[in-house]
Amino acid sequence: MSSDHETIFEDPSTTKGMIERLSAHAYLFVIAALTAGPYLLMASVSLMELGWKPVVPPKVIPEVWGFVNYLDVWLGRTPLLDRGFFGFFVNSLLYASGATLVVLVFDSLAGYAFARLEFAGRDVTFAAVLATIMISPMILFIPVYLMFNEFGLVNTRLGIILPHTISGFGVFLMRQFIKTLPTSLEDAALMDGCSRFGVYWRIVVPMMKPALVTLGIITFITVWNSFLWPLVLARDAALYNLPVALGYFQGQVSTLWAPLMAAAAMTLIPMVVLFVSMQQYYVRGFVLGGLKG
Amino acid sequence: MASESQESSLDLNQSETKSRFSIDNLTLSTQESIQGWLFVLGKIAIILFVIGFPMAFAVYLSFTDSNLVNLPGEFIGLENYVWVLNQDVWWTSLKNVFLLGGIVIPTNIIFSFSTALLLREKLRGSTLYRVAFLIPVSGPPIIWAIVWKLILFPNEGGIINAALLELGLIGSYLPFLSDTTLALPSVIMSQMWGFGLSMLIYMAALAGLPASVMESAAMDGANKYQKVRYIIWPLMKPTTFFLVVIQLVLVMRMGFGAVFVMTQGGPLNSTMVPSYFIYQLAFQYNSFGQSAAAAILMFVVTALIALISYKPLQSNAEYYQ
Repeated sequence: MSSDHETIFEDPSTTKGMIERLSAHAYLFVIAALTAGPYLLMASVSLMELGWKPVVPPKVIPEVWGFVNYLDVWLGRTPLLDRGFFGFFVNSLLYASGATLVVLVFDSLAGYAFARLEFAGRDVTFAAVLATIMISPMILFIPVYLMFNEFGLVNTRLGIILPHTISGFGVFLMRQFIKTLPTSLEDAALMDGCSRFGVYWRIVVPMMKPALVTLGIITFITVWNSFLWPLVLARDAALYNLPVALGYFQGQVSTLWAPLMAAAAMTLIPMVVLFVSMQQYYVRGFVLGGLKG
Repeated sequence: MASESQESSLDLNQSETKSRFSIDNLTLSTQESIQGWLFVLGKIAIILFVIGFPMAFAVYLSFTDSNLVNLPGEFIGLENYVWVLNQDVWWTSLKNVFLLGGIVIPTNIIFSFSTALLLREKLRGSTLYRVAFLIPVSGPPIIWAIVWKLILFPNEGGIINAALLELGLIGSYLPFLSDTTLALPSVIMSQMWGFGLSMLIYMAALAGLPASVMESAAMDGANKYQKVRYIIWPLMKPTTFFLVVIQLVLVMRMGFGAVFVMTQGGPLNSTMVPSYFIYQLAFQYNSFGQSAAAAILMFVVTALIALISYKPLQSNAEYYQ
């Protein structure tokens, strides 16, 4: 992004430019207040050591503040929640990294084949893989639950990870990216008798790193934030991920706002850090996958 | 380039070379086919196991009276579909989700385009605004509902209630989440602020605009609002189409987390959405057959939306070579 692009507003030294900037600030501020305001309130309430009781006028700044709510929630010392968020955090981490690993391996392999190899039924198969993007988990969760029940996969970590690895989006992304790479190096390696897998592993994977980072971040954040599949497949609280724990927790303790907000903040903050710092990678995935098709 | 006289002998040669080549081709392409399938095997296996077979199973279940204790149930034809289509709550849920999409999708486009455009202007504090817009989309949508419940919650008066009461605008607490007219707007309100990702996509598209476009517009003395309306906005058409279509295809999934947290579909089903209806049928009433039928009806609606929006998306993709 160049820093000296044409702007629409007049020079800030002119009156008109000042007015334009002020109105832009007013507009952005209102939207930001509606977007982030509730989260500031969340942060503030989560720090209230004495909890939050709505009074008139509302108190939104902690009188006594500290991290006791975070500690209580993390260790499971909050009434009605006998389990620490530490465990849910570990589960979320396991599900997100497990699914990301599976997606990166299988999607890059498949993406390479769809981009470079001619094989019988390729186009039909690719179309079928793409169509999976449209399939909603709603149609799958009953049969998958019943099937996984038969195979002993309900209430297991593997069972919870599997449905997060089905989307064809990553295959599409990998294929699109590989198609932009020059083939000369691959052709030369094939001539020299390198195997297809050797070409994939030694030449394509190293060149694919930016696309792998993009797909990895998108998958990790999506699985971390996943709610429906863990809700359906984790019958035991020991296997809940953070969003599911949060969903049940808020149902149980609808008036214990301070610990609930601490729990929500702990779920959200790692993803805000990851998303904000990696936003360029994240967007590149959508631009490559969505627009240059 | 063969002359008439040599035709017969050439013909022979050609057929010989042709057959030799075709044998080679066959072996090569068979090899490549096997390799190709080996590469895609892992992904295909997962898709068959978690999508292919379950989809077929879902269709089968939808024609049976399966439930938790009766599995797989008796074949009962279209009875489940008739039952779902005769439920008022099914139609309410469809109406609600389209209302939700009808408000969330246009506001998403308006907020994301306008903020992306304004954040180009090198205003002071741009980074702060950007982070503020990205916070909701970073985390699980269920948190949108939790923080908005904190603001709207009715039992002892949430923050909006407290403020309105202090200002003397209301005499008693408004039951935002338990009143049949206020609950749905409250749920929709909680879903309107997740436009950050669309904003980033617009920003990427705006950054990709050729500088000459803007310069020529400036030279022509184009008024800046006309510049936005008649130059930038039309150039963003493929991006806008992409964002609208993606959200339209996903519209049937909207609101599950919010409804789960804020209202459980109530009061009196006034905030029911199809996804929560299907979930409730399956896991509260254990009525797998009816739930599967509703899920397949939902899938049909999604497929129709995708089918209708596919053509315009295709033609607009041409903008990007």
